[in-house]
Amino acid sequence: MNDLTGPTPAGATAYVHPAPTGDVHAVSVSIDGVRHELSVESRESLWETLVYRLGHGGANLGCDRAQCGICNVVIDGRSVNSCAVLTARLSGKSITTVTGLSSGPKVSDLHPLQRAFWEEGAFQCGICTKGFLMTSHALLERNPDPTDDEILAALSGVLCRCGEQARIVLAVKRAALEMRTGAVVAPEGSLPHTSETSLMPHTSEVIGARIPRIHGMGSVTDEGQYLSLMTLPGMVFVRMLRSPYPRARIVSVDTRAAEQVPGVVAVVHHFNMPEPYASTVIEGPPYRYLLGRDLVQVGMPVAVVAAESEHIADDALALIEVEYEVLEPTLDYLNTATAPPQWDNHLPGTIRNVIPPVVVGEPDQALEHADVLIENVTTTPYEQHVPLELRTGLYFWEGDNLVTYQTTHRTFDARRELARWLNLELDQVRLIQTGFMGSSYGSADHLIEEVVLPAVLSKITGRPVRSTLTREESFLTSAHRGRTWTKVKMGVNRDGVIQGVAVDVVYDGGTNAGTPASAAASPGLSGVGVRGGWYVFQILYSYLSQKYEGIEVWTNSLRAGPMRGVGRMFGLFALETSMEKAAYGIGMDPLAFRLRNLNETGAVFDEISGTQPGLPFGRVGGQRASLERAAELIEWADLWRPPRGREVRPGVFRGLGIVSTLDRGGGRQGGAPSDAPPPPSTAQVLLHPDGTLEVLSGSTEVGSGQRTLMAMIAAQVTGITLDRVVINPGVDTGINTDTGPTNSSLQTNVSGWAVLEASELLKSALVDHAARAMTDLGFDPAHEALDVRDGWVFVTDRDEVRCSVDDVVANLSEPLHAESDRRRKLTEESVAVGAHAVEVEVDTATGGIEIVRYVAVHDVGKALNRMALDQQVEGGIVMGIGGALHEELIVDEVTGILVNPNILDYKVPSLYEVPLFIVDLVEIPQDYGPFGAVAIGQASTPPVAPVLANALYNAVGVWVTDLPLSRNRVLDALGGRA
Amino acid sequence: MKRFILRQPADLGDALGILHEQGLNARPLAGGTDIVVGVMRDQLVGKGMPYPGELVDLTTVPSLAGVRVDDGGCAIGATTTLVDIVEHADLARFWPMLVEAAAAVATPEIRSIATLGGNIHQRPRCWFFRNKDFDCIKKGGEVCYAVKGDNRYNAIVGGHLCYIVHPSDLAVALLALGANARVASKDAERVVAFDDYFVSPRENLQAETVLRPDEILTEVRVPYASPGTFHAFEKFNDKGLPTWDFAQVSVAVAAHVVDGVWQSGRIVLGGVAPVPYRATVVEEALDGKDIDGALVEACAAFRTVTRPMSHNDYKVDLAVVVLERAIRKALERPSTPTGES
Repeated sequence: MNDLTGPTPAGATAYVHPAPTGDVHAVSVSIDGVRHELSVESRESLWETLVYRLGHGGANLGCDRAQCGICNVVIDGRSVNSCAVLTARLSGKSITTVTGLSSGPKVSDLHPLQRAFWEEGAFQCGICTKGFLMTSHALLERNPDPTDDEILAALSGVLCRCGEQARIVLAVKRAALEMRTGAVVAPEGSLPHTSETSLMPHTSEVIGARIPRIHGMGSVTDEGQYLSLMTLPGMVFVRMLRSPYPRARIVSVDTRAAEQVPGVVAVVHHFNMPEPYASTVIEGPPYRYLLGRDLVQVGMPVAVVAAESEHIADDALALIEVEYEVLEPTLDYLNTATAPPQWDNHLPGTIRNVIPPVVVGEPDQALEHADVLIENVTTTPYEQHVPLELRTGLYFWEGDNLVTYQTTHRTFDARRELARWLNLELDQVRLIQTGFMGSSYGSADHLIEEVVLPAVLSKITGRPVRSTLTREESFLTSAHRGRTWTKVKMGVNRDGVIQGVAVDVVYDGGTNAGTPASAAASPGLSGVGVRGGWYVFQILYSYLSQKYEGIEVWTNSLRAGPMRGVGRMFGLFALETSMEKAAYGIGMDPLAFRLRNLNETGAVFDEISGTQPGLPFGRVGGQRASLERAAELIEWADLWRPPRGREVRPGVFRGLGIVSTLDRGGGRQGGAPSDAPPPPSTAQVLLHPDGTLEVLSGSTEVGSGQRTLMAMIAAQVTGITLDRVVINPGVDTGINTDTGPTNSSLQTNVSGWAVLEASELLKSALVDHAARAMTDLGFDPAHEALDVRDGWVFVTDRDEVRCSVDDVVANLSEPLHAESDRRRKLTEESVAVGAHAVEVEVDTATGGIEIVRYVAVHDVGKALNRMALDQQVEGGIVMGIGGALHEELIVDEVTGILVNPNILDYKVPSLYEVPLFIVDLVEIPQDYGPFGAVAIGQASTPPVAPVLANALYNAVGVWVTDLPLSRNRVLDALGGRA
Repeated sequence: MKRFILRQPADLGDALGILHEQGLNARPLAGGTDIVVGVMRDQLVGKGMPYPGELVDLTTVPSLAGVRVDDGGCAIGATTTLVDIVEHADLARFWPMLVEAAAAVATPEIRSIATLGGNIHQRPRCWFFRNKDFDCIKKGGEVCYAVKGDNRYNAIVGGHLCYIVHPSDLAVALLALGANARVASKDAERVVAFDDYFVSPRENLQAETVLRPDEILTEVRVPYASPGTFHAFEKFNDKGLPTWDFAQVSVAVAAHVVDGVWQSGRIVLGGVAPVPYRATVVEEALDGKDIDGALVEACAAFRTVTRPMSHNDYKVDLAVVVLERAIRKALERPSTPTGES
């Protein structure tokens, strides 16, 4: 149920949704066994009734278009999208949500499906879990023993963007078995637990084990405080009118009719935006203001309405009259040099940034004299993260101080930016992230107008505000993976030595102009996009000479920004397809060619990587070992044939691909200027007299298990059992200390270190404290030492002499306390490496690519939580498959309008497209990571597209180097060769 | 979503009376997965596409739902849900292709509320038409944005001024099965063969069927298969999945074949034209021929009637392949039972 556990407006009671007006219908329905007599307006959906009218937490919302399935509930035995049905039509129906699935708050009260989802890791962020649970429930009620195909068919209408499809099927099968036999089936490798409220094991030896999410109870029940389920007493809703033009100037805005709509509280636009908000530059040049007059992309906010309901706000939006002066946009990112300038630009047209080229040796000559010269042009489209949660914010003011709840993975950075945009001091903004958030994969990285304007409306109206983006708005406003064009020339001699490589990049940052601060520190987009691609080239392989050139351009299309893997995506696609072409060009086995050319000496140019000078490389062994292991698992030696060499049925061919991968993480925050300090690492731990260990960490949970990992590190280091470790799900800037954002794969290496250090300090305090009591038991402090494990303090080498931690601390008058506040060294940045291999089957008649087997091998240094690690690798691959095969945002070349801002036309992977995974690890510990671990969050996405493109070529002998490798492109490339 | 008035008539007469009074201001409502969740929430309005002020809920009219099987064939009420079609034992036995087509629609969630009538009458697919920011010719604007834009999913045959594709999987099957529509208005009732039910943009830019604003589809009648008829439905979407997305190409085949020789039949394609498209050119190329020998050439004849746009040549290739597969699939199965069997 949606009562926030964090701060709420003083003196307020519960939120009450406005009484329906207009076409009102009386409805009698049963919800989770409780009869409700409701009065609703005809346009109210069941989801709106549940969450807004009844304060019911049983269904998340992902699209409001029956396209994602995460809001599914069961109506009269059938799974139905709760967004798609009108409550007014439900009289006499019986509705079951996840609330009705469990019988109480304990683990033992959970439905077998809930427990199986939690224990099998069938979710990461959990935003889709309620939908999957209810759909599975409807299935098992009809069919207690479904086959895999029946499960896939039944669940195919629900999407999971974290990529847990395979685990979801496993969890449903397990629950079905349990329900048929009455037995509880513990998953392989799981540790026994004793707690009634969590699945955390009764041991401190947890590093390297498979540990389910510490707060998983919130994801499998209605308890998780996903913001889309949350309300504030007295709140109003905001909605925004958006530009239909890619470039225009607002001439006038007439809001008279809109203001007359009953229930409208405020309408704000350029001409009545108050100071100081109106003059705050949010980015540029070209300068962008809150509700500024100059519109530079479709979807930019033109006016904001605050009203008693979203429907009323939409009614008002439709009545706002805007006169625009429509201007000529720049849409073609490959021809920006001749475009009309849109700001005082020292470069031609709308070129944003010419990255200083880097040259080593004599690449032009080398390319000219090489035995074989290949030229490879690759393009990658705009992609979007499609986080399944609709980005939501709650806002209220306490005098001049703002309190806000945000869907963010950058709790402290978001507070800093909000304060700057609102002209507030840092301590005037309190930002809470509840710990339950639909994972954003980078989309929530940039603070956008949509996050700031509701705060302004809350200030103006004096009311708490809720803002939820629609799915279309999410597509329009969040930062996307930028479009790229890359030309690679590679000269290779027949002995396999790469004589030279020349790389030329055009990166379309869209309307992303960078903040004034970052623009000053480093012009334009600070080269993150282009350099991210170069980085891959220089780290992975060796060349006798090299040349890198690139530009970043500005267009009136979409806004580019971070997305899993960022610039490494196009870089690896360009590099690994070039490597493949070069290998074929000299007639060498593509695997042998890669092993021949691995870069085993380290980074060449610090200015390319954007990392600090002198960065130790040190991942070389892992790279070779990963490639060799991946080749073994995909049976390269036995199965590889030259192109079109494996026809398995008429017109259907199999092919293999293998590529290297890498990613960076754990050091500097991605996108930060190269002289920026690394994020702070802080943590506090308290051992309470009742024996519970409390971890205070500002490490923001985004679904990948940050909070679980912090608890695990604390348990392992202190010796206190994990079931006695508590950590809040959420992060509150009013309570926690800054420990960096959860992006750029850095939390394990940043917050993890801090928890580790604080825990070490706490453990020595505990041991000191225990020494006296232990002396009474025969411990000789002069010649012996104490250690702690599994909740016992014991004498090293005489572990029968022991005392429980509970007994040691029982008489404390206050908790034992320790903290860490360290600034990590930039040399602690890690490079994660690995290799992916795939076997595909390609039908030349239909252009379809089917993944037969997928192998991912990663050198992770040390696996900390094997469940979360596997989930991250799998999830990265699933996201990569979507991008490789289907996903592209299409901006109309004539109008600049985004053609496909919905989950039907922007095609993310469903349950059906998840292949058989084989995930294997190489563990070469690195001393800069806690327990030797290195970053993994992003390394598994970039290799997917190149490994599939290479396997496609190997199968059918045609190249597709424009992503995605969709049916139309494959058929066009085959053109008659079928 | 804008306000509307939800009418919940108790019988057919009431429903038709409202439509008679209101004309285009009132639109029939069945499952609502397209008109409410698609058209109205996405604000698809224009000069030629008024926003409905009232929705007339046909699911409150009991006589419009249900399946009847009798000597003449089956009669399926317009508000019968797709899941009720998929799970109906008699339909699966005598009209397996219809069940295959119903099972291929969207997701299980949508099939549990979407209806037969709604599936036939859902508005067409075209991402310019479906995007509120394009005031396209079908909505009453001036131009078809698909002509110069990314038209990879648009029509490859039969487009004229407007290049939508017909989205219904069931309509394709019904046309191949020689089904009829029973249509009612306040004062009259008529039966229209599905052969004559759908209209192209050339005939009417704003509507996709012959239905007048005051009429509704009440029932679909499907005859039994004649002896020796083979049926198959094949659907291909972007992901190559059995369901979820709309068809890039779908094909329904009803073939009367004796000793491997094509006697007569119907071959209908979905996803390629503004209407479910009957490929008579392929039927004629097969007429009286031994199918094994004639099939490849006959299916290739489909190319002669296509006029692909700038980005959708591939759909022609795909259509030819899916045609071949659907016909082969039909012949690999036993013939469909007739009413006497």
